[in-house]
Amino acid sequence: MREPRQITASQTMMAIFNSMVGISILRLPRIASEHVNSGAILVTVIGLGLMMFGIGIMTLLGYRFPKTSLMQFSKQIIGKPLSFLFGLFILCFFIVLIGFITREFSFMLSSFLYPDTPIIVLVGTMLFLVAIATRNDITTIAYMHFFYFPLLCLPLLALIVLALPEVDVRHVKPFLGNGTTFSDFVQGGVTVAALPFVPIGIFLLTVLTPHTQNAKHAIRGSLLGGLIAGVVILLTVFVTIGVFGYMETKSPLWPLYVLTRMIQLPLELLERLDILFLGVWVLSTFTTILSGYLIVIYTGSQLFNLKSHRVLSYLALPFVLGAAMYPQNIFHLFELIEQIGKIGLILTMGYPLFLLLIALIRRKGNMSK
Amino acid sequence: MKHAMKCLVLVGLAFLIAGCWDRLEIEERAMVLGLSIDLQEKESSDDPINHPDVDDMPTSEIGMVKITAQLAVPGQIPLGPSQGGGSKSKDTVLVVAAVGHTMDDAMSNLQQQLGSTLFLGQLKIIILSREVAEKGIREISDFIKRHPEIRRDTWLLVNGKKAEETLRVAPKLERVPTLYLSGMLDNAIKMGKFPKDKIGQFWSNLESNGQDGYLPFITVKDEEHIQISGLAYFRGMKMVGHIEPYQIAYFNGITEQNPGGSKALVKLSENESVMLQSTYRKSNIHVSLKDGRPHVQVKLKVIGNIVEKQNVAVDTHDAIKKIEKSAEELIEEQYEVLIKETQEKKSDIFGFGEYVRGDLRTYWDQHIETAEKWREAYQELAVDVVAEVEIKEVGLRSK
Repeated sequence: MREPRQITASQTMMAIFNSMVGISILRLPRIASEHVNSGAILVTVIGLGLMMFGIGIMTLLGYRFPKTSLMQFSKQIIGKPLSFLFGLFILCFFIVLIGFITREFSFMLSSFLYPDTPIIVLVGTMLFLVAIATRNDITTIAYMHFFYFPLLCLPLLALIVLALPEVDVRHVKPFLGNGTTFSDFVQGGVTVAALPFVPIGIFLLTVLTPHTQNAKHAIRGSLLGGLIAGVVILLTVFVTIGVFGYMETKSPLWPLYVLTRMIQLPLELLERLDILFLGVWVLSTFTTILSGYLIVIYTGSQLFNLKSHRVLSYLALPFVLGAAMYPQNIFHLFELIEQIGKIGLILTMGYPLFLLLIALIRRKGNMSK
Repeated sequence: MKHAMKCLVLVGLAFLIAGCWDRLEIEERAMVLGLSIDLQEKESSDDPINHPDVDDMPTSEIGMVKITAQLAVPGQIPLGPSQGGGSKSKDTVLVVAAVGHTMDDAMSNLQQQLGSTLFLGQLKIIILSREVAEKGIREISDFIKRHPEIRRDTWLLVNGKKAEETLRVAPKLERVPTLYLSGMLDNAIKMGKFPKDKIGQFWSNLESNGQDGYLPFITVKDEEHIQISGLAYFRGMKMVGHIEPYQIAYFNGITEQNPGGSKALVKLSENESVMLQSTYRKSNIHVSLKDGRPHVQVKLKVIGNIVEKQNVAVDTHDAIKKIEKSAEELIEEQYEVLIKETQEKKSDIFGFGEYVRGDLRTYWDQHIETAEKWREAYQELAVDVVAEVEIKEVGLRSK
């Protein structure tokens, strides 16, 4: 096998952005306003702050242990049996999570566009495409993200700009929400941080960092990626709440998608943009699932000491498909996502923090500066 | 062999990705352009299509509904500019009606009469009869919001009498009556005579705790014209009244709808008057607590032109200043009437409650909290309107 080329900082940034912007942000405005009504923006800031904290921990770990993956350095830090156990947890978590995201995406497609197509066809096609894409090496996958980034970022910015004139400032006031308590914000923030895009964004770093040109690039890229994705996500929440008002945001299943259905170009150049945006959402979900699937097979291959992640590309498929087909209806799915999302917080933030602390105490890893 | 397998899988995948599972040719769709919803007086007069024909079937809160749909006849809607006045609207559209216990029951009964699948993706207008709007639109709203094909840029209207007759009217200017009507409303917004109020905006207002919804109110004239006759306002889910067309101008002022365009006949004395047309409106709404109760101050600025005059000299700066003064008085007076009317009906269509909720957070949390309580508080709300009129142009005459 030829030596994989090196991933640059900007590729890391774009990969993080693409992985975070996915199907979950379509319902994020609803989740946020359900907890604290018009304080939705603040609660999103809290959630995204938690996310940046997670990214920060992961980058610090990556900086201490450049060129080794999470599985390898966790072996160094806490020993083989314990790291294997946690690795197994992480593997199972991501299998279920990716399955659920794919299912949510298929639900959305089937309710808006393909009412007669069986769900398994929508789920299966998407997962199969992703599995084929992950047959490439990691540098190529980083290039894919590089290619898709403008196709995601520009339409999203356009959406925000086009929706801005429709925003009614009264809808986003008061900033703290009406009749809210401190614990509402904490709970809301945790729920936002437990959305699937957070663990995928954080754990993608464990895959990318060993392949970046150097540790500094990884840090710069990942922090910038998290920040840009965070700002864009925050702006989408702002325009959605601003246009609909928090009460109306609670009613649709995917409020941001409803917003894209009512946005029009000035001068009535095109009456309807939602077909274009549907393409954007398909792309964004593809990149998110691609990253998630990559995490699954990469973690799996490290866990079982396989030569390359490619071995598992098709083998992991039935497991993810099984997870995707498990929920019965949309509410069952949302409840399950929320439950495993909260478990995921422990795995994606608690576990890395724990590793970092032990590494500091036991003085493991790269200590330069 | 391996390659053959790969090819087979890829070809199969290509079929799936193309998304043709749900293919429905355009000829097979019954394109619904407009819907109207009326009450059906006689009980149990629908056909047993979704349910057994028994008396105790659950019926929507407003009773039996009658839905009338205006369908586009395939191949009859001209895409480009029309060549000569050939076909009449009778040929381009088809109007069908059905009765049901609930919205979707009626829609299914409608489908039963048609050979092609009903398609609501091009729906432009939904017309409610006044009775329906007064009885409540909760269930109709739920049906529309739940339907994946209906968009938030559809127009929802209230007709003064029967909603159905709006769809049977055949205006001569356009071949498709619903397109004419939706174009008419879009144009009224551009001319500044009507607020932006498509169904999405209406829902946002309806759901907000500190605001009530309002809808265009239309009437059919001489059985062939449609006229915008005001704004129907709601208390919660129920329509409680409507304001007159001239009051829309004042409503647009407070809610800062631009561009301006509505006209007002300003009376200066017994036989002196001018016609004033607004071009731009700016409103500055400030809420504060006075003696523990919210107090709303509206500073309104209207920039406009004089387009006509009767028995009055418009030739000096002072004369214009005088007209401005009279116009300001007229506006302030009219606001009092308008706000009083909505206060009596407990319908805060201006959304003052949203300002209170946003700016006086502690007051709202302690005293108001719900939309119902806000409507009570709105009745006694003190609103001060200060108007400022600026006349920029007077036309081409110097006298």
